[in-house]
Amino acid sequence: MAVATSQFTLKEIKHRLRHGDTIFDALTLIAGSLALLTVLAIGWQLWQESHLTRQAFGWELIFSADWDPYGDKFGALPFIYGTLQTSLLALVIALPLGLGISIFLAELATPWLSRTLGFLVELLAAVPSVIYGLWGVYVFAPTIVKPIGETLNSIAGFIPLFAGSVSPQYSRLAASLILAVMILPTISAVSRDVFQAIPRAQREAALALGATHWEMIWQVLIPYGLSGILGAVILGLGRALGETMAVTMVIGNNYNLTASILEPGSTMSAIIASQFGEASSIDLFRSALIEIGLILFFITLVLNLFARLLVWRVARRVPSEMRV
Amino acid sequence: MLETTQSERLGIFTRALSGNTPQETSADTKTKMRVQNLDFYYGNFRAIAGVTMDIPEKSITAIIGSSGCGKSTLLRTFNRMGDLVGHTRVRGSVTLDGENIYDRNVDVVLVRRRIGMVFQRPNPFPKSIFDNVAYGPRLLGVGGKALEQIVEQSLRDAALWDEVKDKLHQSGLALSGGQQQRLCVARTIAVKPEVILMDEPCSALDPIATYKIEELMIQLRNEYTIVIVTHNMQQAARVSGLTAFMNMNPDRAGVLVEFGPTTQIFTNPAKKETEDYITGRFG
Ligand SMILES: Nc1ncnc2c1ncn2[C@@H]1O[C@H](COP(=O)(O)OP(=O)(O)O)[C@@H](O)[C@H]1O
Ligand SMILES: [Mg+2]
Repeated sequence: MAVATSQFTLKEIKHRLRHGDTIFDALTLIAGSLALLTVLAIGWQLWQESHLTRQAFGWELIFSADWDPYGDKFGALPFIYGTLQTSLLALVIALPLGLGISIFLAELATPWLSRTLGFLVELLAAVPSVIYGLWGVYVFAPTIVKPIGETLNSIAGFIPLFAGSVSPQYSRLAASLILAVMILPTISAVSRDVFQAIPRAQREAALALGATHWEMIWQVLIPYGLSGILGAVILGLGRALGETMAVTMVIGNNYNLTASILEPGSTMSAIIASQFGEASSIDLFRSALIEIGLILFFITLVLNLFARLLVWRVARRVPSEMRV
Repeated sequence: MLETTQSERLGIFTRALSGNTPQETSADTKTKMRVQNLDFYYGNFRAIAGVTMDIPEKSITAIIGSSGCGKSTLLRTFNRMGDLVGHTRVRGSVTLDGENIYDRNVDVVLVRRRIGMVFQRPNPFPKSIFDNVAYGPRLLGVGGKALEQIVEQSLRDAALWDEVKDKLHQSGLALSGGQQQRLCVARTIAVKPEVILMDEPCSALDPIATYKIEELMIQLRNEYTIVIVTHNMQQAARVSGLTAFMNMNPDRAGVLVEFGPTTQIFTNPAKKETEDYITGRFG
């Protein structure tokens, strides 16, 4: 009797387990396909809704710098440049800083200090971007960005990037620096987790060979965690590319293409956000903004694919059981 | 009855010992490291209590004892690896050639350059075989031809050269566990340390790989001072000149019960506790 019962329950458990797996698999599959479908649907929608300008101007929209919506001139180059320039500069500033913070948090600080500082850094990510925008315009730009801009201009004004007149409030530099502050928590928190996940045996191996703390960090920990750090960079870059509110508020919405980071400019997301209201009643104008959206969407997608590839290539060098 | 069983059990070691070509531990053998009244604390927990022992130069000293009695902790005080764990404290002294490595003005990096370590689980870097061995010499600024020579010689000394000479630029992680451990030995001897600490270096290896590491240790003992922690008593009997037996006192702190020539510890231990342990009867 007892045997029969136990056999029965065993069977039942097996049955339930098998079905549990099936259901779970199906759920994951559905969730995965939903995500993919959403991405495809968005892409398709953007493609459809931008057919007017695509037919009228073709590639010219991407390569022309002439933006005059009421004169039917739709050149998006200033915005593409603005997006790429601000995001890359933000990354160049935030990466060493974020890496430094993460190394400090994971390797040097006492546990208590690490927790407290880590919390404060993560708090930076919780500030709404409109607050960053306000702070950028009224505090950051005049007190910090302006002197930096003037210094760059006086030292390296002969380089087009630092040429022109220094704008006191709105500039591409201000947008880049605000973006740097905004992506800093992402980069430092993710890299900190990467460092903390590196096995103690790797650290001990280096130290036992007479490496100093710094040699261990540079030659062993950073190479070991490279794929994870790249992941952090991609997350940060993704946020920088798409950030709209704060950038729109500090970049100055200048639609002329100049190279200088010290002058006002605009980005793809900024132009869409600031002009969509006006454009909604003019079909061609709206189509142009949607096409800019399509380009932004495409750039982010390509960047993510490229990043995946990079992470995968780096990760291949570390066997899976040792992967961070 | 009991007597015979015990001597039979001791017989296993006599056989293991017969494979051991004991080094003459004459009175004028130089003391390389001297441990005096050593206490080690993890927070408030005392893991090591009052250990005193002299480690002779160019010989193998084995540390045996049951799991958790503090063997690893003791070994890690010899190159200040214990410093890496938070909230630890050391009392007493460990001297290397007469100099206390815990002295305030001693540079811990220099101590670790002189005292290398091989860990329980092979831990090569995710770098090429060459770069693994070259890591230490490069820290010292060695490069070019000299570096290549050091890498080759170290791999030869670690009895790994023939197996890897055609794939020096493949990842060290692609090797088998035993090869990885010999790679770690090669990496350690590439910086020519004076002392090599080994913490159960064979516990993750199969018998053949274990045998190779033991052969290697016997080779190396002519040039290096080796301290090995092992839970494998036959291994201690096979390779070491001196054996230290550790056990836990009632407070669970590790103490040194008996320390002497390996032959004596395994055939004629002075303490009942030691005899019980090596004959398999735990006290
Ligand atoms: N990092 C640590 N923090 C706190 N206690 C530890 C730590 N490492 C080891 N211990 C304790 O110290 C004692 C000795 O451990 P260990 O030296 O690893 O023993 P063995 O190597 O002889 O097995 C054990 O009771 C263990 O729990
Ligand atoms: Mg141990």
